[in-house]
Amino acid sequence: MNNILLLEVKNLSKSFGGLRAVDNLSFKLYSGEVLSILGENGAGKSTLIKMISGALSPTKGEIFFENNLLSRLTPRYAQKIGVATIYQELALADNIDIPGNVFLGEEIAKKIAGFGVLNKKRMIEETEVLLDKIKAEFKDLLVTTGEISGGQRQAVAIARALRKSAKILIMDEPTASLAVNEVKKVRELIRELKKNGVGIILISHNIEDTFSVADRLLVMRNGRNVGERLISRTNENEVFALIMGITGE
Amino acid sequence: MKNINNKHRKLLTTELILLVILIIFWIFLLKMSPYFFTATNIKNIFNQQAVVGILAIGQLFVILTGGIDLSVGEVLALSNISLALLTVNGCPVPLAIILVLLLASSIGFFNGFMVYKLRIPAFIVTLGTMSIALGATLLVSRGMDIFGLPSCFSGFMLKHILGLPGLTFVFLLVVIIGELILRHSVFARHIYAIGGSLKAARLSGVNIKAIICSVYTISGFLAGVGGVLQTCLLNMGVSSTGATYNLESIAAVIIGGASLFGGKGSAIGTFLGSMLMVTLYNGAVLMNINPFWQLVILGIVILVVVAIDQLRKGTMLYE
Repeated sequence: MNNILLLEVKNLSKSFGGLRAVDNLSFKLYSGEVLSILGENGAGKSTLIKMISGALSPTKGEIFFENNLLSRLTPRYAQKIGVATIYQELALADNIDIPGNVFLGEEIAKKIAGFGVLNKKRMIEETEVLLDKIKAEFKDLLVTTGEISGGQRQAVAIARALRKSAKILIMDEPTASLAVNEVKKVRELIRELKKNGVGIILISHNIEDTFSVADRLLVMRNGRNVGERLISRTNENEVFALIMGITGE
Repeated sequence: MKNINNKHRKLLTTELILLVILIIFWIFLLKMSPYFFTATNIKNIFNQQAVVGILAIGQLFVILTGGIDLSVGEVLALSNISLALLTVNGCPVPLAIILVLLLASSIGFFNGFMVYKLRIPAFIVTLGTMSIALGATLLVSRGMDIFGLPSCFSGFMLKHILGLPGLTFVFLLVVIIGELILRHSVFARHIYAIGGSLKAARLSGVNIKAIICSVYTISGFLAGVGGVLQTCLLNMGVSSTGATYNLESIAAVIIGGASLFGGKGSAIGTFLGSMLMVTLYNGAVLMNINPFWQLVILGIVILVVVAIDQLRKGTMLYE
């Protein structure tokens, strides 16, 4: 595991009414590291990453990015400092074409009389470069994302996340709806990003994903961090036991 | 990964279909009535279309975000009455126009602010402002029409700008600017994103509050412009002038291929939609159909178009 501390989460909690979705949770993420967060449905994984990506504000606790405390984090600010998130539902606007989705919220534009005018040509060109990088192929970039397959949508979402050189990439169930060869591609991509020093948080149900690409794992149960392990020093049985809450820890 | 040029083919389908329907309709009317293709009648169609068409462009911006503005007709009426009252009482015309446009835009902004801030469905908010604007119109006019306006209003109807009647010129200008904004601006990209997926827009950092407030302000502003043009058209202030415009502006937008669910539609489409609607009215008059049937026919057209949109979307409310 190499070097720089990218993210430190300290005693983070989030309550919805009486429900504690995330409960006093802490962890660290280093550059060039893949951290897999595991847990059953409702364990609080999605709530946790939504706080880190600025989509939800924590009830309590602190998030440090490169040793700076982030307060009042918004999705836009998180993107700006290099925290990219791919949500499970992908957050694509299915009435807009592929380059439009890749650059949504951060369009390449020229100012004409104070008015932002889309630079569609450059967005198309840069989308091609991004998609080439992840080896995704499209016959036609100007179709809407409502017209393409699940794997292609994932590719668009990944291209979108990589648009700016992200330091942290959060992926929520990236392989959930993919065909086998597409899963392989996503895993290769994760390894590639890791080589480039990106810190990756991988939320997955798929324990195979975890053992195939992660360096470390963290198990959540009822919103709490119930165990962290190095992949090299654990096995699937132990991980299952942690997830299910079978004691012996 | 090349081959990116078939966008135009797809973009134009809705508008092309509309144009074909419109031409068929025109040929039909041409055969049925000797009066259809006369200069007077064509001018009539354009004049009728201009006011409702301008309202419809404003309505389009709102509908693209998945909202609706039920107050445009009454904001138009309030603008018409206010402009008449101001100018009859000696306010200089340019100043009166600016004041009226400001009033209309503020009502629009209020709509947007309430829709965003209080998360109240747009049809409730705008139903409320519709009632307020209607009440205000009747209060300030005491329910009466206002005559004796400065001659520049009726004079505008005789003016030609770049060879086009003044009213038509303003309308086409609004359509062209609207289409340019919708096609090329970052602002419009965010409008479409909100209409397509509010969640995606929010997670992408789109400034939803600014966009929502802006589209309703645009709708209010254009209702004000419609009110000014209506004043030219009528050469008086008429308190009941807004009555059918709400429905008609919505009809023009959805006949023009926009989705009531948001995220889909164009200014060109709305232009063609309003032209089809006005031709429908005009044709009914020329063919001596009882004018009350116009509303029935319009209602049927709206239901058919919305039903097609719903089926295309593939979701049923009560399934």
